Amino acid sequence: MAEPSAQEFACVDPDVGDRVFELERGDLDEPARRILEAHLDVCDHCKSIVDLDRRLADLVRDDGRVTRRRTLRRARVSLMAAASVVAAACLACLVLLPPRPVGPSQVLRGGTDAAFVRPVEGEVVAGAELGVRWTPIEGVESYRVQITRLSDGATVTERSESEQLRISGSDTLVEGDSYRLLLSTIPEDVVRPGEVSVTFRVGSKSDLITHRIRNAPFVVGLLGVLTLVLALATIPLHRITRSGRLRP
Amino acid sequence: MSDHETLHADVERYVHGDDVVGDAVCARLQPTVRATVERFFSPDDSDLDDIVQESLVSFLRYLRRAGEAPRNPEAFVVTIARNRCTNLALWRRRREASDVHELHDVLPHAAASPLELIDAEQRVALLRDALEALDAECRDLLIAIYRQEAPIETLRRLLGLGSVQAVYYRRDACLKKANQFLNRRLLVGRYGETRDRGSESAKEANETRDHG
Repeated sequence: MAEPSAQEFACVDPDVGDRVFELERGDLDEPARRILEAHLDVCDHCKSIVDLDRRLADLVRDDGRVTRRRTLRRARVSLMAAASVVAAACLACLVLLPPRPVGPSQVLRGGTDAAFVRPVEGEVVAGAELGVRWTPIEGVESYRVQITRLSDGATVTERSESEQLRISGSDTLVEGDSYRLLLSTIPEDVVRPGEVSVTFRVGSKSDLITHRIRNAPFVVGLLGVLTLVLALATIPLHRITRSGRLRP
Repeated sequence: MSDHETLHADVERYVHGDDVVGDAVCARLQPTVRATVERFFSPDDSDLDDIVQESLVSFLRYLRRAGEAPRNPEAFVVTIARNRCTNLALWRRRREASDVHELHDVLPHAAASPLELIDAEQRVALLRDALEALDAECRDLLIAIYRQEAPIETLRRLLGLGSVQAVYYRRDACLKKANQFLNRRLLVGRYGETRDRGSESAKEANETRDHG
């Protein structure tokens, strides 16, 4: 067989071929449509252009879908990362920040200048050891903290040179009992007797967690809601990217 | 009445339903078509008769479907035949190791789009190349139309064209450019290697690619 003399495709009737795309028009009259369809049937050149048009359209739309899917996936990953960070922050705040004070006399206790920092009023603590902190008071040489068990009135007094104290011993702090801390100073006339006090309860670890969650500070609640919103926002994105249901 | 006028008269009669004259039309056109195919391949090519026959049948079918005769029937049918030859040449080039006749049932029709001849992956790569080879204006227009990012009316305004129809004509022109690129790539090859058109065609193809 001789080598073919390669030619390019040519339109069999360029006057008609130039109008092939009018076939897309809905208002094309019947004779014109008939001629164009007949032309397309015999003209390999126009057929290849229409075929190319369709394939390019598919390619571009597929590319668009892939790009959109990639963008959505990136957005989903970003949202998930943000949700994780916010959740971690929420957890950290829950652990590190003191719970909201609860109880009938929370406003009065501690006065305005001097007050217990930890535990806060009504706080539930766990374990046989408790760290107590209070605000520094000017002109004080040392502090005395009186620990009173409310059930039987048993009292222990501890002395501290600084604004913190560690109370330990299973005899001192018994699970299930409520206690009151009363702060007094040396010299004694710096704060009024009974002015700086706080009440707390010793509970189990689950009591502690429940209390912390119930009385979490406002910022923890805010971060929790934000985590939830971000996590929920990833669900539709996940569904879309998984199912590939993207409009062209 | 000259041969040309007789042919025109016969074609008109066939268009208007005279089946008998179809044979006469074919008889008049056959030598020209055969000569065209012989020039393309060779007088002893095994597919010569099929191509001639198919081209003439396509022409008659066109006359009946369109309901009107082309201005130049000879040129019309010769172009049909030449396109068929080009298609077959592409087939042979792409399927050298296969006997096309044996694969008749599984392969698409020889007159199918040239893009059918290549594998899906290769086809996508070729389409991307064709899109890349276009000038930025054409490429952006096609992408905008295909992605349907904006209504045609908006595109018309952006392009500063007088009518929506003009947008379609512009798209048509862009597609023709892309098609030309594709055909050259299919016929000549990526790096301009060719069996028959030599360095001239290769140079043209490369120029097209470089231009893009």
